[in-house]
Amino acid sequence: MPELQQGRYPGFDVMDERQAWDPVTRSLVAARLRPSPPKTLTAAEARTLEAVARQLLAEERTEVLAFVVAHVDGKLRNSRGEGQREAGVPPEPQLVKQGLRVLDGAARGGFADLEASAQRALLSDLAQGRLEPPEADLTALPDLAADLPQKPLFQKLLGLCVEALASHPALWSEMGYAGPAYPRGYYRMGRGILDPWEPKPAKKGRTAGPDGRSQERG
Amino acid sequence: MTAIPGGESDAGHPSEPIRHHCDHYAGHRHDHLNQRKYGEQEVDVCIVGAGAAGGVLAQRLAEAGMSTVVVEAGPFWDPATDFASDELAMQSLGWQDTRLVGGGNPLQLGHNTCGRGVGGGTVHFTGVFLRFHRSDFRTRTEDGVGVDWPLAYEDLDFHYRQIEHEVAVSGPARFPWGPYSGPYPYPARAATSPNAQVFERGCAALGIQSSVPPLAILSAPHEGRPPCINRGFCNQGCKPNAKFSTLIQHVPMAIAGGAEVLSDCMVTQVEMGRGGTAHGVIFRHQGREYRQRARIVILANFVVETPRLLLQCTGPGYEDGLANSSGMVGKCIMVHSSDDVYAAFEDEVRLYKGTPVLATTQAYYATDLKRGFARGYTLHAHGARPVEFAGGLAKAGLWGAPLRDAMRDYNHLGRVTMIGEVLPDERNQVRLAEEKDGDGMRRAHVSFTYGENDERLIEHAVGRAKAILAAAGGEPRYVVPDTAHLLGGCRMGDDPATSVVDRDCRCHDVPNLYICSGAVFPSSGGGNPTETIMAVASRTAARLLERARRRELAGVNT
Repeated sequence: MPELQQGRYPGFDVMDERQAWDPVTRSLVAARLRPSPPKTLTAAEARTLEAVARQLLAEERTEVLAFVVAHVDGKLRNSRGEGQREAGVPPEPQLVKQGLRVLDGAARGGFADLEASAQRALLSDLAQGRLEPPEADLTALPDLAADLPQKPLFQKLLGLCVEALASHPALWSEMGYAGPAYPRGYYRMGRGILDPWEPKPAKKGRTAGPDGRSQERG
Repeated sequence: MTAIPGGESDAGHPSEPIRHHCDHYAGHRHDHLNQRKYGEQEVDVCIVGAGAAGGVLAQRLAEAGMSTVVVEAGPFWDPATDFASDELAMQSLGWQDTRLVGGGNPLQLGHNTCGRGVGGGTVHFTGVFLRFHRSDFRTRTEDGVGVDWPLAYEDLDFHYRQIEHEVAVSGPARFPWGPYSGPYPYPARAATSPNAQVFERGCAALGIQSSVPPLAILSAPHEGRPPCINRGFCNQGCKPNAKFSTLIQHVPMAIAGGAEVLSDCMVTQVEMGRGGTAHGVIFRHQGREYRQRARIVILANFVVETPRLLLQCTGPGYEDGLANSSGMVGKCIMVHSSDDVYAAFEDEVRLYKGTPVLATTQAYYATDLKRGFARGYTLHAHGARPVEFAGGLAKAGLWGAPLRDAMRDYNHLGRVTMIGEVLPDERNQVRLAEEKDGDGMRRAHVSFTYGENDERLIEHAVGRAKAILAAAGGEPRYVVPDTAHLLGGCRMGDDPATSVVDRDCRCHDVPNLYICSGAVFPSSGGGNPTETIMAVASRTAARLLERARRRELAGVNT
């Protein structure tokens, strides 16, 4: 449905509500709009990761992709741990870095330089554990044979990218998620009843305000 | 509520680094361990872990006059400055340290199952506060599966009541299932979420009874805490303090009663003395080792860390790990099957609104062999915020354009989540991996595989969840396989050959070592376990105090 490319709530920007959020939440969400450049990933790795994220998330906006890359970069540097890791799978930083190298290898150079459809085809192979070295270049993917389990790699990349995407306010606006609600809370709770700041869908038979917000007050 | 200066900073993060004092007791908070209340002295009791069980134990024992030290691996959270209305930032409330996982259904741990920091899992639990049913304590006798508890429901009834009173549980005038129908100390939560209304409508159409559940979430003010404002972030730490946690309830009471809490301190060893008794614990703080000596040690560090600690404490007479003469340490861990079922509705639902669980049914809790499996489950109307929602879609196999299309339908989706009983199975266990963590401790390896009964139960529950959503006008769309909670691994029992602790949570092998948490559960029940964990802790404290008084009367000095 092409009309849904912008989501069901065109004109709604959840960041317009940020003054209603507590300072801790406001400050960490606002920071997502100004992501730091990668510190752990090299420029080449970051470029590959961005291309991977673009396809995994079907996301074109560079500012959103920059936050996704910054999030993954931060995880590789800072996290206490990864919660759980399947026995036999390399630790997260190693898995991600090796994985990006393997994708570049499978693309015969730069994953980021492939056509989008070719990128999606490689990622689809990876998801199913069917990624193979390019013909006549069996040395191009030494990691793949040795110790790089493909499905866990795909799930790791997807999981890290998706948790970042779903934390970006641009996606909250697109999904119609009205955002953090402390200290004000949600009070108009029944089905079909909206607090005034919640986005109202642009739909036939209903009138959304020019900002996509509900017109109900009081 | 403390005001936070500064507001939005350019750096995008709270401008001051969070300071977590590591050493806490009444009137004292220190950043260094050189101000410990007891130092090298022996205390009456040392509790490892300040979660659901540890908090209750500390409060009970300290208020009874025992000198009490709680050693907690994670930080002492301050809800005002440490919690945010944000899923990504609050992943830190989970035990993120890496565990290795395996088996046929490798578990998702971290925030999904284990808390880290004072309050433990109660900081990020959903607040659903259910008692176990009578049959949960006797699954072998009633259904020929699993094992019976050495305790009966009646042994916990008093403690359930006491805990509900302390927590000011809100609940319906009459809860339709299980051994206790109310009344609850506080009235049922009034506001209902759109997703709960969907659930109620679907249940009503099918003639299934549904109810608002008892919740550890205030419906009216209590001890200076406000009622819930339907912010929805129960799993990210309750910032208004409307949801109970031991962080804000039992731990402060314990400190007022004289207990000391050492946070950011990771216990690495139970120290054993001559005569097969425990002398205390060794713990690490910022790379340095410290000791806390104690007459009684209680391990309340849950299903993975308790076995991990016991298995790597070895010595003459306990070569296979401490308290492990039965070989049962780490065995028979259980989860709840917790698949999520999403359905699409023409009209908006808005899963983000309100307390996540405001409608529930236990109509399928009891065994009905006509269904083809033993035991049962609970179904909850279960809200979701963007990260959990999108992460679930990814787990269900969506990526790229289909993922984005599904995310755009967020506000039109309703969700039902099952909490299904999982039977104990010795293949499901915690053992030590070869790989070590940064402190040189071997990591835990957690293996888990569903059994046949578990799989049949899940299939049935997912079918009923779909039916309820469909009856409400939805079109079932995604099923996300998931689990919730962890239990077992140091089961209680009367027979030292087949269990780790007795009915009072005292190790069969080591008379002054206790284990008290969800780890002692012989069965999982088919509902959220936190209230039962706390009731077991309350009973354990009461029995320990009785024993101490008897010994005092008899002039015995332990």
